[in-house]
Amino acid sequence: MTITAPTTRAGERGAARVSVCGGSGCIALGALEVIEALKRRANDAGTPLEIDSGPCVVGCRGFCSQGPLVYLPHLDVLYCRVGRDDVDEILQHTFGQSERIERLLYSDPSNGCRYRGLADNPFFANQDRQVLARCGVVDPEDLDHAVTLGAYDALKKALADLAPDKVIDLVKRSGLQERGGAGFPVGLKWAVVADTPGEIRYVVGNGEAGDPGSTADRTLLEGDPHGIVEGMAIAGYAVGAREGRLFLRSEHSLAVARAERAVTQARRRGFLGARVLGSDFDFSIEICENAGASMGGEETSLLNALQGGRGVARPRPPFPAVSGLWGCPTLINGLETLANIPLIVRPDRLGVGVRPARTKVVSVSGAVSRSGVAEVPLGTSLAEIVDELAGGRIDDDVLGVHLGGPGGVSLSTSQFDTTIDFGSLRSHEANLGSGSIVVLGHNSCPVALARFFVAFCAEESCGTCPPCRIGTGAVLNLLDRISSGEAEASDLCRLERLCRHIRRTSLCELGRNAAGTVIAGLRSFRENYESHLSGQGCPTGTCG
Amino acid sequence: MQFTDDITDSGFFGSEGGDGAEALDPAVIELVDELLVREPSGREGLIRVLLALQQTFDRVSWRVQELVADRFGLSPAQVAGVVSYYPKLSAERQGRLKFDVCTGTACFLCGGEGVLQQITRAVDERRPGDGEPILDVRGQRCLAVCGRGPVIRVEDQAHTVVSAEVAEGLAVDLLGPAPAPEDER
Repeated sequence: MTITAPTTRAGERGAARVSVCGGSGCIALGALEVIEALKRRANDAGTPLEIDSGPCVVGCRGFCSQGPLVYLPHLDVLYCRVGRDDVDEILQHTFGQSERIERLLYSDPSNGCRYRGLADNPFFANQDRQVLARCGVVDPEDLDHAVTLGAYDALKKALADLAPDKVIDLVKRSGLQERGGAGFPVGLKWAVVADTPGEIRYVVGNGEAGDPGSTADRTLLEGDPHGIVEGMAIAGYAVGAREGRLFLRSEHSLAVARAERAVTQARRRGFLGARVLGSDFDFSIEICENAGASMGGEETSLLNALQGGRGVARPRPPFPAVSGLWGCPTLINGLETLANIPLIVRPDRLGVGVRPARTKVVSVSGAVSRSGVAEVPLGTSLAEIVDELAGGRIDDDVLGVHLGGPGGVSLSTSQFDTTIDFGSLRSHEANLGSGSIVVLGHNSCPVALARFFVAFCAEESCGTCPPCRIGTGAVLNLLDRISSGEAEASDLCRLERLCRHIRRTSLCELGRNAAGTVIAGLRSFRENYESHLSGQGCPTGTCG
Repeated sequence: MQFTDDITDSGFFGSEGGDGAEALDPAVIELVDELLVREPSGREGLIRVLLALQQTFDRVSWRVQELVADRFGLSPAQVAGVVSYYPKLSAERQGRLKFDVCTGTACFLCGGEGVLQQITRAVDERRPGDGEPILDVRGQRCLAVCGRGPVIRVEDQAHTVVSAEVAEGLAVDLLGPAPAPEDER
């Protein structure tokens, strides 16, 4: 095939450099073959790609159901479900004069409409990508690329212009709440760690979201690990810590590898290590892999695991901010929280003043036509997310959504005006949690979903406190009775009473989450639970 | 856990002899010591060392646990407590072919649990009595292909929208009629 020369050099950043999603979802679907094919073509004489080392392998764009994704930035064309056999045609389009390849454009199954690129695709157009801004754009293994896109600007500014207490003040004024869990005010937590006397302090990045339905942390790590490293370094500077631990799930091997690489690169460049950027601040980060116990993201379990022991919970107080890793004041933040920090602290060239933390990363899945990881403004309604961003409900009889994983809340379609923010969910006695939104189709059974979450919590229970260790097993037994149609009306009352007891008396969030899931399900889908009773069985045929 | 099977002979876990040839191999001792050199932070490095050993030998045998305990200045029971707590660590050998079934919420909703159950049953039925397992069937949360579940991943190759029957067929093909290949170690 003949390829005419491009108007811009293929190797220039942001020019005609083809980018391929190298997130674990796309890789599982064959992205590596596409990348290899592009690299092979790069070596062919006469191909403009030979100027450069080949395609830019980026992290996840979040459009996971449509991978492998290939993006042509100079044309704003996004190709979906690309195979290696499509590569020649794509190159012809990129560097030649051919028309775009219609069959590889994203096609909306609800109306058959094809979308060309990111600007017109409703999945991206309905987002406000702040934390995810570099995900899918930057080469996550290339520090230089990240730096050209603004990485470590905030760290430079903090070290040069801001005293530690000023950084904490900025975080407080941004209103940032912990992204995950109960939404504790982050600035307040930082202040407690900074004010607690002690020679040694630690910063821990918690990459264990404790939600089997969320891929947000992995998306961040695979797509923009330097954002998290920078956030941790700024946190370390603010609270007076010299050491950080990044606690990651070992099964997310690509995320772990990219985080390790990012930490090594940052150390070599002076963003980490002794005298960071020539200042008096020393900070190092060690990657610690979780050996497979979820612990529901529970902080004290995580600390025991970091100390090389069994990941069991311990009573609080003392809270980790006062007595954490090895008894020292320890700041524990989730990865999305840490990724927000550089956005708050970064140079204020436009004079906008305090930047409020205004977005939440959500992962949408279930009975929608576009599932994936997205970032939306706080205050976005469920209806907007499900119907516009995620492409609408696959069937007309959608039951509702489950929001926030274990510990979240089940909401029926009549409650789709509920907004994604911390306050509105508190009114449902639920946490925003990891921000996972699972849309329940007409054939999804709320009882089966509650059983799924309770089984997850029961399996991950560390066994320290009886309400969780014994209680989650008892809840499972009751749910099994309901699923199999053997339960009576009194069992529903017992179930509710038991769950309220577990929620009141569990040592940590894991047990409380298991119980909270059932209580929320009973509140929104009681009719569905009742229709399982007295031998009627599951209306959807899912249970039993 | 399988304590009762092993605590029959002398030694803390009664593991002298009969607990895996690699435990007696000086190369194992060398590897453990090499891993320890890279662990300046003492006990904090325990799980990292155990994960590395698990990855190399598909298990952390009782004998190796004793060795690790000795090097970390811990009791073997403390190390065994850690190994038995974490799903990624195992005293028993795991299959070398990794067969992952997504057990994330989205895959659960479209039947992932049934896929996992059916594969586990099929593999258990075909497991030779005293032979080593070939397939390591694992539930994974999650495989990040949420819109196309149920998803399985066999040796890094993902299969989307699989039925339990298709998944079982893949597992049976991998198990094959031939006996398990000899472990080269």
